Amino acid sequence: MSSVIKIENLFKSYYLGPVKLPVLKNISMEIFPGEMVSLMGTSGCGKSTLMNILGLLDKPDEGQYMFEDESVLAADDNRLSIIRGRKIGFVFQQFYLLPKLDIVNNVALPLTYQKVSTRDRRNRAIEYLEKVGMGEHLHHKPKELSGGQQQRVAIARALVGNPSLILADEPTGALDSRVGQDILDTFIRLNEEEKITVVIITHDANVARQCKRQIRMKDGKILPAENYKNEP
Amino acid sequence: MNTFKEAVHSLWSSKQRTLLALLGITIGIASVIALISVGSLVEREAMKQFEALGTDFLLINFYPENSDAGRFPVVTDSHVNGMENEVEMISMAAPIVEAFGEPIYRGKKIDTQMYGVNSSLAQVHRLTVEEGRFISDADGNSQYCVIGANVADELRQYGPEQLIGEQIRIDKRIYTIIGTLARMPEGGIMGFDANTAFLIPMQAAGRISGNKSIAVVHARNNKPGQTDLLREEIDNYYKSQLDNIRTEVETAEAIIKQMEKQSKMFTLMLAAIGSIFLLVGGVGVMNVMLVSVSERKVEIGIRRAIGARQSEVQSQFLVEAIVLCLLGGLLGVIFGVLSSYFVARASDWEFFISGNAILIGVIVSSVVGLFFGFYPARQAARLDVIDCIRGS
Ligand SMILES: Nc1ncnc2c1ncn2[C@@H]1O[C@H](COP(=O)(O)OP(=O)(O)O)[C@@H](O)[C@H]1O
Ligand SMILES: [Mg+2]
Repeated sequence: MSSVIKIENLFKSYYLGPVKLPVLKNISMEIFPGEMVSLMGTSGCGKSTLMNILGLLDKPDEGQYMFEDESVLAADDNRLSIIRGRKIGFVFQQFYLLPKLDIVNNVALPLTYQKVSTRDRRNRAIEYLEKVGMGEHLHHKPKELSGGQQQRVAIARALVGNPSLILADEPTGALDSRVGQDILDTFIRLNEEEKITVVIITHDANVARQCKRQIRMKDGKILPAENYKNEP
Repeated sequence: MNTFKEAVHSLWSSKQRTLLALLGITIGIASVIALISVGSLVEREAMKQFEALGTDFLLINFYPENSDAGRFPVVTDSHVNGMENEVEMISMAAPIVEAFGEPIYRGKKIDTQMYGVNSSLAQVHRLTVEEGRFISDADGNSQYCVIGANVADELRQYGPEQLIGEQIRIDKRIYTIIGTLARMPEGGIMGFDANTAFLIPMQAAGRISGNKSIAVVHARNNKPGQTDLLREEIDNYYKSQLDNIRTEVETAEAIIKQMEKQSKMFTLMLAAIGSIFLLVGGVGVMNVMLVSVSERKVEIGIRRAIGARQSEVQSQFLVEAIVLCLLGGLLGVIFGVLSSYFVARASDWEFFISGNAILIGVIVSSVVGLFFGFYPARQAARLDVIDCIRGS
């Protein structure tokens, strides 16, 4: 089976004035359809930088990136927008719902960029809100919901375009552990029942451990699997 | 349509900022509309007066060719009659002799303008008599007078049983009223207002002023559109009759042309003033949109992350700017039309809504929105997605 994501020898540095700050140092990995992967590492090790590249929001300085067998580093901005819209669903630590739109419209928003009719948008938004257990709150504004509820809405938004991949950057980071576990369970369930490919970025070993496959990062590099297989 | 709804929604949710931007555009469009429609009201009003007078109307003034040499030429009744016969383009002509004096009725000064005329004035000016009769050529130098409608109204205040036969004193002479004129719809242009006129027989006027020469001829021409030829023929005729004479002809036609030219310039000037307002309003909109873009970076980042293309973000903000300007334009049209209505009422002009003005308002405001919204919208579209999302 061909991979959803295949990256090889990625490098990325930031520049603080004249000072070069290498953040990703020769990263290679492959993620296959239906996987549930955690990307774990301490804060500042480059996880978000990697996720932004995986999510086509940013570009590496060097390396190869095939997304569903398409070489995306050569693609123009329009093409990247289309791939983001149709094939990738983002979940952020801060939820990032639009405060002025109600829940249904927040979830339906990605579909407005895919020329889906108003009625279909609404129906699909409701369908996915029900899937994440938020079918009762269609017309609330985000700020009327708890953090956990907002994150569920964000998950529904990530799912609504029927993407090949969900990228979640610290999705439980802003939630207390019980609610965080709830969200994690939602991802696990979606992965098991709907075969959705999920990559969860976390610094929390407890979260990482519950994913079928774990990748560890340290200081801009991916650690070989044997280095952490046996850790608690 | 959906983008439009979203724009309205977004504008509504930041009312304060929206209101601020609206203000500039509204004032801009309102002033343009008000200026343009007041301009067209003035134009229409002036045209109405000329239409009442008739575009075939003309005035002939006489001057000595050389004011130092010889005597001032004396133009008489028979010269005018001669012109009527010889100059084909003149269909009728009425001579006027200047007369000065202070008419006094029952001890009160009357506000009026005196003219020495003959019967032809009634034809040239299409005057109708209300009571009594008009001046006839048989009146000679009889001390009779015919008064305009305003003068008649003024005299009636002093309580005569009837005006015909009443006497008016000018210096030592007593003039008897033989007729009153029906009110003329408009007057006061091209040097003659029948409503305030005090008409006496030409010869009687000559006696008052001591000047027997005709000062001016009021006439009508039957070949409109050939002002230059008309001027030439008239001048040639009088030069053939009299020494040391020069004529100046003013035609209603030429004056209308002149007015049209002026009103075009006026409109242009108004457009320039309005453009300055709009520029200010447009810069205001641009400013507000730029602030809006920087305040909504996270929103832009989210939209881009979930699949919005640059062009889609750009059109979102562009539509917002246009909707904003259109809203301002609409309010501006309303305020502009309202204020021109009040100007018209205060000036006693006939009011009409100029469809042009409204069309201009709508088009101009969307163009302003497009123009001043473009830069902020492009800024929004080109923002770096990572910067936006990390921004909070
Ligand atoms: N735009 C940037 N400019 C400079 N340094 C950055 C920028 N973004 C991230 N960094 C640095 O890169 C490193 C990795 O950041 P990040 O990928 O956010 O780490 P993580 O998500 O694992 O905490 C950090 O040291 C961070 O300070
Ligand atoms: Mg991070």
